[in-house]
Amino acid sequence: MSARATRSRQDDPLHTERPLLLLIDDDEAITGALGAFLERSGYRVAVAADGMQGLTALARERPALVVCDVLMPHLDGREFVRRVRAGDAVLPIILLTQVGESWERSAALDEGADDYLNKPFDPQELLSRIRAVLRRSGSSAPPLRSAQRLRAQDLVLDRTARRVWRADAELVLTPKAFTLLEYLMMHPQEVHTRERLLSTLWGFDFATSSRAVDHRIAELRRVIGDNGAERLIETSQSVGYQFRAPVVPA
Amino acid sequence: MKARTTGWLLAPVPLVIGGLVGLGFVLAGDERMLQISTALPAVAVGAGAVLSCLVALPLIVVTARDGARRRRESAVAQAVDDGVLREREQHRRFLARLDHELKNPVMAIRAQAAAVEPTPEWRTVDAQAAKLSTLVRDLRKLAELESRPLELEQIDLEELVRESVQAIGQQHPAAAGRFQVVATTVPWPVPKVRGDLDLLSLALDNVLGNAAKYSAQGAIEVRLREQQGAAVIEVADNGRGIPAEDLPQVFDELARAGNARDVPGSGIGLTLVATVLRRHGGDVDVRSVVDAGTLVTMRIPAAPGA
Repeated sequence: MSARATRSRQDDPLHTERPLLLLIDDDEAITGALGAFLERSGYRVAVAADGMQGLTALARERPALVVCDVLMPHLDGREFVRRVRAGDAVLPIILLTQVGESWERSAALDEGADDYLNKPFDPQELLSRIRAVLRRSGSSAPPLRSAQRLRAQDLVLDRTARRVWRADAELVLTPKAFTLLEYLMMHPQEVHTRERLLSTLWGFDFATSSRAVDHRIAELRRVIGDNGAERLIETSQSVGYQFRAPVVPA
Repeated sequence: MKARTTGWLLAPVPLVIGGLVGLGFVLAGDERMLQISTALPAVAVGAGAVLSCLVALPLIVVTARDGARRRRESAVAQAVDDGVLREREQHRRFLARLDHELKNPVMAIRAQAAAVEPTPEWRTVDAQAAKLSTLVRDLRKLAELESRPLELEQIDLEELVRESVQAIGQQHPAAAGRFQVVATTVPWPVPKVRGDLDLLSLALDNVLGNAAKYSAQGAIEVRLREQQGAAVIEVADNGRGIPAEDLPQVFDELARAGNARDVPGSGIGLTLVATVLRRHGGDVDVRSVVDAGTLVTMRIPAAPGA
């Protein structure tokens, strides 16, 4: 409790402007409660009831980030993202996707969102996604979201061809390990818990299944030869993993 | 049936026609004779042929009848299979709808719990809402396992078992020292299987986890062996066992034995195990006696569908 209070004071020192978030969802019970939670966490929150109202709200004041549901009347989340991207390549957007929809599928359906979260989620998880996306978009690095090829040191990953090279030698990965590497490289320098990786990439997160992630990390480290002192993929506080090296579009 | 009746009706027709023609000759006073001479060897061959036909005819009839019955039986089995598949598919769709309809209400509850100053009451509300959504989501994921494509690779089961024992030992430190793994190598080693590593380790973790949870002491034996080309994993404990009246439902979703109420669990573990094994063309069997122990036997063919 005190940790959270301290954090929101850090996010919101008295003299700086609170970042504005635009929250778009047609369910008032959700926008009301989630809006109150995000305000408690140090943000200003504007609310819109569908994609159409969302576009109107954007024209009024540009937020730091948009959190947008997918299933909405009038203009759904995916169409909203397409229309925003037609005129704005950088505005960070987090899509609240359908239950059970995998990240791969979400990313394939829509390249325009910066992150995805399945409803229902722990609101704290949304908060850490918002912070991570804002941190990424605040840096000068070009966005990875629309890059076809990603590079970290001498590791290159081709998202379209689904191929990976290290120091120009092609590597052979199982499809799951490839998807995991792609996801970690798309969200570098962020700690991902095993549970989140499982539900996002595997689509199953039964209570006992977190070992599936460890298996694929072991495969990745073996195949890309990631055993040195300066690892690309790091185990973080025994709760999860992060891609430590900076990633750029290649 | 109709063809057979027509056959019986048509069969005497040539005899009747022959009789009528013969009667015509007699009435007309025609007394001419027809004499046919045949070589003796030909008579022998002819007699043999007639006898063979007499023996073969019933065989042909029986074979045709068996074929028809087999076709009928396989059509019935196919219809039953189709029915089971259709029912599973309906069940899956229902759970998907239920899960979907619950997502916004649960989301609103969890957001509300996070929006207020945290109190023990709100923490309970949040935990229970999370539990509710996890349960429905797990049921949905379980139903989706029926049609989820398997990602097949070569798997060394002994390695998998040893990893699983280690992981379950970390989750249940009290049981860590009680696991004993035996992999038979003589006269045949346990064959490697082609399977979905994630799903098989999920199934194995569930069975080993149950053994750790429901047995307070004594060894938990994990035995790997080969049986007619398939790999067999047995997990045996001398724990509290499953009451006889609960055994038939042990693989049903949300079924929990009457003597398991004091141990936390969702009641989907063994359904998950059975589904994973079925998807690999194998099966799982549970034998159990209350206060004596439980033996779970998982059979995995070397290649799925084999």
